[in-house]
Amino acid sequence: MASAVADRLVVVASHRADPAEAVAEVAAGIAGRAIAGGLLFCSHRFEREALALALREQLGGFPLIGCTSAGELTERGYDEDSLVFIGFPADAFRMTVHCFDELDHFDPEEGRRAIRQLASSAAHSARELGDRLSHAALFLVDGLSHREELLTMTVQEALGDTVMVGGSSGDGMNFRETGVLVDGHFHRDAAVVAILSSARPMHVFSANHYRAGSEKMVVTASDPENRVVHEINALPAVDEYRRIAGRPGDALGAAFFAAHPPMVRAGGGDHVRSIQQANPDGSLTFYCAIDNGIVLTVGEPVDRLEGMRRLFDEIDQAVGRIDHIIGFDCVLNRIDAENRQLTGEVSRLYAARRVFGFNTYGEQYRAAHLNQTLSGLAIGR
Amino acid sequence: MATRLQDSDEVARLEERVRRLEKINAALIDRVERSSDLHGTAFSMFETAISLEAVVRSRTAELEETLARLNAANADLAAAHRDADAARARLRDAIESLTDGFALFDAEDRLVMCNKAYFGFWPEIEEHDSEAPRFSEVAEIVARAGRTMGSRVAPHRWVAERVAQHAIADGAHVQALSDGRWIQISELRTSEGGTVGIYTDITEVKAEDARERARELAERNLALQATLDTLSEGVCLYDSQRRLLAHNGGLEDLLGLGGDTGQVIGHHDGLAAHCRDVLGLDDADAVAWREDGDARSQSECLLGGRRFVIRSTPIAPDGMAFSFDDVTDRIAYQESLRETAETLERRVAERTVELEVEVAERRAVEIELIAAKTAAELANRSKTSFLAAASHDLLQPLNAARLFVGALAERRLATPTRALVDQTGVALDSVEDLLEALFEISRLDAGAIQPELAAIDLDQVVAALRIEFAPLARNQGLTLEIPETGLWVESDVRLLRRVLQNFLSNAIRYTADGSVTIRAEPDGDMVRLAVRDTGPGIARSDRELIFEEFRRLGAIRGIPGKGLGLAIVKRACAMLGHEFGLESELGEGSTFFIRVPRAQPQARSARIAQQRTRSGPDAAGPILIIDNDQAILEGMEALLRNWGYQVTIAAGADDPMAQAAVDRGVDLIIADYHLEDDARGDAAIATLRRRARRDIPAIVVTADRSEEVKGLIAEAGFPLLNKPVKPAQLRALLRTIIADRGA
Repeated sequence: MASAVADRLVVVASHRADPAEAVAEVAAGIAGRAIAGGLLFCSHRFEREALALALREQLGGFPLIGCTSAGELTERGYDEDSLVFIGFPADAFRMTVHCFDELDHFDPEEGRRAIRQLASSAAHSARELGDRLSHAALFLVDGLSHREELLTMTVQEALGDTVMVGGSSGDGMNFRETGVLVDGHFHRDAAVVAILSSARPMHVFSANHYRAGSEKMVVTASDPENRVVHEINALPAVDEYRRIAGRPGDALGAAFFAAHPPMVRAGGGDHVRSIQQANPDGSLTFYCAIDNGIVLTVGEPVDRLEGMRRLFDEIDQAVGRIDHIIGFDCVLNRIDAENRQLTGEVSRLYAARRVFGFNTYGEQYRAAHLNQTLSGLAIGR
Repeated sequence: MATRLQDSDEVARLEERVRRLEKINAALIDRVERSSDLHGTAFSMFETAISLEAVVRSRTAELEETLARLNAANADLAAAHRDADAARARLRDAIESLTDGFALFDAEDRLVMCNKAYFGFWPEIEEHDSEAPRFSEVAEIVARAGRTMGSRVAPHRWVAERVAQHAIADGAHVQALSDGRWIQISELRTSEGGTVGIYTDITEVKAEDARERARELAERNLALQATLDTLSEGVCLYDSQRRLLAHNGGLEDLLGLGGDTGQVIGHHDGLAAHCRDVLGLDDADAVAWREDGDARSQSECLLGGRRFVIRSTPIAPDGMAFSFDDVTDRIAYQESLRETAETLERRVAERTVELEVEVAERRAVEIELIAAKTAAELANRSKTSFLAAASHDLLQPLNAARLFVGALAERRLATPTRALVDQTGVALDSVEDLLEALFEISRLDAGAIQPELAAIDLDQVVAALRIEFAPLARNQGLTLEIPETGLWVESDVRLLRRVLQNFLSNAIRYTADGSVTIRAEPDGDMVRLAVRDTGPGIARSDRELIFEEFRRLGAIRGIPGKGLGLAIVKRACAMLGHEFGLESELGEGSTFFIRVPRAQPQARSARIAQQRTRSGPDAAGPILIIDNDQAILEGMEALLRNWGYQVTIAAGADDPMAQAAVDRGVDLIIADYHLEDDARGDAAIATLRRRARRDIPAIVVTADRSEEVKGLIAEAGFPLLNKPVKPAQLRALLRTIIADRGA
């Protein structure tokens, strides 16, 4: 499934289970065109070593980054068990890549220096494309690393005016191990930054579809390092959360978390702090940083389809004619759509707006690590 | 009790509530306190990212931008360094790849770059430990090692000269090395004030030069000897010691030297003795050694009983060349040539006289011939013009007679009278035919008809002939076969038709029973058109005669005919360039044929819709007739009145009768072309039309059959009738015109 119009992005989605065959479809979609760089998002079900081998063997000559997902966004909208490739044609784009590994030992100062280096070499290599260039940074990080906040802030700070957007890699709904793809290998505990440069318009966005509820709750006991909340309002976190959500008897699970996202107020806005899972000891594990003393509410959904249509219209206005939108869509958005039987409509909307990407364990937008948003990069023609 | 219990429950609930609030309180206080810590937690980072992003960004933007610029500059610098390194490496590779020695001295005259080949010439410099020796040092090292011939002879002078040369650095010079090699050193100034030198090993070139020169010399000697040997003269060359250097085969033959040339004339004295003593040379000076003279000398003399020219030429330095030319045969040949020339001159003079006489005679004959030809042409012209004039003058009264007879035939007549009138009509037809034929011959002879050659569809021509001649043949009980041919020919359609008409009318006329056939057969590029009859045939002796005017054969005197048809055929064919002929067998029949060039079929022109002739009573419209001949006017008037027309007759446009008729209104004007006093019919019609202020229909009648008149009338747009006017033709035309007008 390739869109091979001259000088458009090369976008290929494959549903082959065999890694070599899936990559062969990607190679066929590229059809020998010169590619400046590529993104690859794949289902957690692919055997990673075999997929990496196929990528090394069949694709080459350009930097390729990617990650495993909790679902893919293809021309079918919400998709699964698939592989999405987005290639940036060399006549209109330049892509330069930097990879961080061993995130537990990440040194912000070292990181900033590396990103500045990356930015200058990106500017240098893109110079031949013209004077009036846009730059955007794409960020992919291990969604189970718990280091997203530090990385996001450090990288965005060093990037300066170049705006960053990205997502945390996923592992379906298993939360065991994710992979970040760099240099033809999947890495754990790694992050990758790619600066994309082009004379074409590029626009970074992020939006959620919840408003804060009225009843406040305070985290009274937590383990910030592991993102675990033990107590809310000095009561076991699970019970108190369920009570405030107004569903004291309901079973907790991804669907429940998606429908009742905790939200925190910061910088004049309300932001979702998503729950990853409920633990047997009555505590809650989050997808993002939490701390003692933070004040949460339970969010209530607003009209999501209407909100997204408005979002896409704004993007159209900002960019003009859209080539494709690279979407980082929280896996909880997908679960919420299933809950509320919106999957078909959301999928059709994504397909119509040419959104390709994956379901994340969290999104990075500018300097912040967010949850339950649709963030992304819109690329004009 | 219950109350107490209630109270205790209430107390417990409140205590729990207090516990929770205290914990919440503590958590909030802790959070608030920690929020200002320098090293925040991950959540603080999130908060900062969200709430302080704008502040942080504006504060750091400038710094980041500067850093970005610095990094960009560093990246550029690194790229520039890479490029420079790459360029330097390429330059070094290029220089190293040279087979010539290369040395670059900077503005300080220090050796900054050189290659292996350079060290190949001066190995001591490679071993020298100075980092960048000056050129003067280099020269001294070379001289000390005695690497060049010059430095071995005079080391100090060589160094001084070499350094001076290097300082000028404006071209190439050659150095001989002490190991036998030769090098060419090319030195040039660089743009920064240094010097670049290229050291090329030219040893091979030098050796090759020497070999080349030796080979060229040998080749030249061979060529010289070969050239000498081709000379018929005998040639020999002596050096300053008067020894024989070179001679050719001719010399051996002429001097009868046999095999021992070297013995006999190996020295000049031998040559002189041989000539004088053996061959009896009568002039000894001819082969003498001339010490003084520098010019070439030549003498004729007798040698061995034959006449020779002997030339001697001193050759630098101090040599002599002799040539012996046997001129005996040449002198004899010159003698014989002179005799031949004298004989020829005499014979030319005799023949010239004869020719002059002959030319005079021929000129006289030619003058006579020209006079005869002029007379003949004059006679022919006067005959032609006489015929033309006669035809014209005859046609006028004939026209009148015809019209009268026509009018008469329309009347109710007694049978005997009717027979007379009919015979008069036939007689007039015959006279008219005769005149037409004469007229045609005269026009052909006078060149008044110009053939217009075009591709003609033969089927159209023969179809017309079929229609024309079928009734005639039927009347005589003959079978007429005119088949379709499918052929096209190149000819003039009117003349071709005329030829075929004549063939056909003759054949029908002279054939008593049987058939007349037209046959067209392709014959290469030509088509043979033949008209065959089953008539009496024509005797061999008569076959030339029948093509002459008025020539009719005895056997057919009883049959009407004028004897002009074949005369017309002969002229028409001559004009068209068509071959014609006759094949005949007495008692069997005759075949007249004509050979016409074949043509490619053309697109058939759309057949012009034939105008239907209307029948029915004539409209009785008033008609004005203009003619200067009263007899014709009266004839026409009688004819037209018979047909029921009101007729006015007039002599011209200014005739009051004509004007009155036009004022009353006329439907048609019939005007003769030639009127009184050079007035013309078309002008008369125009005058009357102006008077009537409308285009009255008109017909022009004329006896003048010239193309010129025909053209003028056609141009004016009038229908034309030739005199003598045939009543049927006139009537048909009248009906057409007046009916058109009525329609």
